Amino acid sequence: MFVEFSTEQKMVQKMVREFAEKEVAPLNQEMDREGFPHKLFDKMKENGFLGIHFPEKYKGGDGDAVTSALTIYELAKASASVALALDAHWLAADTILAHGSEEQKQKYLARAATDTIFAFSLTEPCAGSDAAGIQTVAEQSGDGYVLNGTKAWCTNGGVSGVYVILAKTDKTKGAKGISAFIVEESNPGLKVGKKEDKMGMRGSQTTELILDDCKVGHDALLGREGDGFKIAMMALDGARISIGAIGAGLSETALKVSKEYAAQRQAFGGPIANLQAIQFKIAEMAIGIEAIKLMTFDVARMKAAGMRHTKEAAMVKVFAGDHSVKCALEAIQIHGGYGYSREYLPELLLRDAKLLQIGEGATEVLLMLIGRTELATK
Amino acid sequence: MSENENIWVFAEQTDGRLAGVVPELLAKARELGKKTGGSVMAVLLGDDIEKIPSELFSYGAEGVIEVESPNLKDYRPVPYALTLRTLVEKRHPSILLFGATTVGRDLAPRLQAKLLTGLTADCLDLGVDENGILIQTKPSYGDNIMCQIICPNTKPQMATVRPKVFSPMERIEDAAGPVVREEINLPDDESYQVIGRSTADIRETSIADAKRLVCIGRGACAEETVETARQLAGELCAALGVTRPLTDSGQFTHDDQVGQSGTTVKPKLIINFGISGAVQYTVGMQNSELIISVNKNEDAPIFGISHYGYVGDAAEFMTELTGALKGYKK
Amino acid sequence: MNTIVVCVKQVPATNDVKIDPVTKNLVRESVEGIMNPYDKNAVEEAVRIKERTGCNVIALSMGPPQYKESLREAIAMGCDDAILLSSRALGGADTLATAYTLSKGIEKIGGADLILFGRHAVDADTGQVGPITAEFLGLPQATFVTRLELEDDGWLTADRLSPAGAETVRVKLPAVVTVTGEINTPRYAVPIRIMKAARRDILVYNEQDLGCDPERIGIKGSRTVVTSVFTPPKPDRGTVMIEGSAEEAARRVAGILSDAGVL
Repeated sequence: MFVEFSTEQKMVQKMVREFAEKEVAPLNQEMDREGFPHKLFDKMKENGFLGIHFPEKYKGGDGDAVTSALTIYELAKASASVALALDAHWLAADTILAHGSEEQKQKYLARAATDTIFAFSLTEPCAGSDAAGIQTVAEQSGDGYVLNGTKAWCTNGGVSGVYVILAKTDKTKGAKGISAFIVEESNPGLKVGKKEDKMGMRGSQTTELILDDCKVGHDALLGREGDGFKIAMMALDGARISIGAIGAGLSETALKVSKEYAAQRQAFGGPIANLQAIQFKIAEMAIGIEAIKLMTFDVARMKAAGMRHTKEAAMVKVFAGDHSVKCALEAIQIHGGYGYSREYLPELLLRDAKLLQIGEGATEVLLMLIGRTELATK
Repeated sequence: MSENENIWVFAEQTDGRLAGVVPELLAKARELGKKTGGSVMAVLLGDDIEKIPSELFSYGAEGVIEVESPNLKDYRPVPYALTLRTLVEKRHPSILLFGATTVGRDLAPRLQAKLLTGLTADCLDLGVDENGILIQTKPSYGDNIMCQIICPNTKPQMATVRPKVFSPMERIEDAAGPVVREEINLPDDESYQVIGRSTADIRETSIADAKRLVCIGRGACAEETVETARQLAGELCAALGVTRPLTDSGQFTHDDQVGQSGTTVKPKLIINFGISGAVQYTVGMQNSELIISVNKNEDAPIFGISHYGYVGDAAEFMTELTGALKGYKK
Repeated sequence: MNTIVVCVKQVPATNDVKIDPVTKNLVRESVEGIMNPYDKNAVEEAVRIKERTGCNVIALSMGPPQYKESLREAIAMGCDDAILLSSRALGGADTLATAYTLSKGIEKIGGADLILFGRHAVDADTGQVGPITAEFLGLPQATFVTRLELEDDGWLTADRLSPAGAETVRVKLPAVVTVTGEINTPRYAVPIRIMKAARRDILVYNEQDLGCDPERIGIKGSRTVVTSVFTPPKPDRGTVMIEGSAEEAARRVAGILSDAGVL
């Protein structure tokens, strides 16, 4: 890829890469067994990862959307789970950065940058892709709101200190009746429910959230009443760039281990890398990775420039998800029997990659979005 | 024959004990001397060193230049470099070799700067051309690349040489030769004191000196496997070496590590368990006399440099071999 | 302690270099440079001393303009300032010419109480520049240092690797110290410091600024010549693979050991 990054971006990337190689990659398979890596996230907090693109006045790293995409990309090479957990943190914190009042920013962003993991919660047991169909309600009470309902698939559930939760303030209005609330983990009305036993991405923790007369003040409302759906969709646009970056990193690791194995494994009197069947696989993997990177960092630049990027982010996400699954499958195929073994990386990559076609907007929903957008423009 | 054809070997010693690399350097220097016609002189600095010259002769030195002084008791860079400079400027050797040890690599560049000549670090091979130019082969980029380096215009041509690369000569009993004793009055170095030495790290058999070595790597790092490896090492009277990943475990230290960033070894026997054979490891042991490797990955590069290989489980093989060896002893 | 100079070198990010079979030049798959890992230990040690004593830490390098990257990284880790010695005439230097230039740079800075190096650079792997610089500056040296402590009396105490394992030395300041990887674990530069360092201008001096003797710099000032580079040949052992169960194989190996006389 020949896309020139700024000195700042390159330096951050280099630091993250070193951190990922030394601190994250050795834990990848362990996380798959043991779950969320608390100690690793403590190190990431100490080293300023959590607020890399927040302004300095909120104790952030003063980076931009490209810096954060590079960060996710480098982490994902070492562990897609860790990258996903950071993406989920930003998904929540970015809603405050983009829509919070100055007071809310002061109160939450420095915490998000230095010591508290955040989580974003939109999805419900019966409302995923159809986000406007959520059932959780927030009713006005004397000094604020009372939230009731059940949330599902909350990434960073149970490890977060602050949750951004979407709930209906007006049941009659569909998407426009949704509002976003900032809820502290310590709120007695917020309970962390069942921990999902996922196929992949097992180093990130995903849970239910149960809101049982969860009382919050007026100051917990993010933006205005009815802004929630818009806030969520904008945040998801950003998160889809992260999925592109995760896909690029994960696919690159699939390619790397495949190349190493193909150069080492002997068959028919030479390394299997000499076989055209293997070369074609490697080539297909590499072409797609190049495309994901070009798209990801291009959309990240659009975001950094303040341009609308809904369609482009959806495109990146669809393409990166599909290609990551393909790369992981090819890595397994190239590794043969070893690829099918839990001792080796490719099967973990496949289990991780599958999430990229589902989370932050399933492929099918995004294809609808892209198709409709295309058809609406002549 | 003039003195300025001579090849000098720095006879590194600590408390009267000659460094292991010195006989290796003497052997190589003799080989070079046959081509250049120069004599091989060992240069010995220290205090209470009267027993060392005979040892140097037995390892092939053709002469010894000795400076004995209380100032030279402990190795200290400044007095040693000053002494050597005085000797070099008086006698003009053509070549000056050091072991690439923590002494040689400390001292040689200090002396080089005084003499404004060239120095090549950590050489793996030495040769001379018809003009007496020393052709020095040194590794770069973590031993992935070799460079040939010469120092064509200044003398002496200086090199530090990695230990365990050259073989010493067969020891000649009762060898003798001329010992030149030089008196050099040095001002004491008032800026550097050796205040302690920890010998805790010296093993009965350090891996560098062991004749037999059992080495374990990432594929044999489970606690029980390490214990099994210790038993096998005990049965073989071998030292136990490790690769880089195991030095972080707490059970082993950097001193136990074989390889480029650890210790270069050249035992009579080395058995590798669960070691894939990255170049950083193999350069540190590939000159061993008999190399046997066990790895469950049949494609592991370690097999390429091994005399014998077995594809299988390391722990199981160790247990079986320990048993089989007991049978042999009976 | 007023000033520490820490000397850093930029090295290729990978040691996996190959020789072009035709041109015989080095092929570097990645031209990306990183700070020499041991120099990171030196920077970390300098910054830790700065955090205790409030001294000034200057990172110094000699090399082409892209070496600014590593100097900026040194600033991001906590160095106060950085200087690059760079010009065409300084290129092609061996360790002797490099150390001469660095010593002139240190003189230009006004000297230092402590000059830190990494034990060696992982590309050229000589470890010579530190001791030569010490000699040119007329300072004592401690190399291969695994622990460093500054005493109140203007001396430092250092543990260093030695033939016996380790030794402890006292060295009078100002002094040159080269550090090993064991001495500390370098910090990661935090993003906000990286951003600020990335925006810094790096001061560049050439040989005239330093008042160098033109005969002692670059290729002219070098005494060694690289005549060729090659990939080391792999020994062909004609490996014999032993088949069978672990028990059978172990018995076979025991026999081999016995026959070879190593038991």
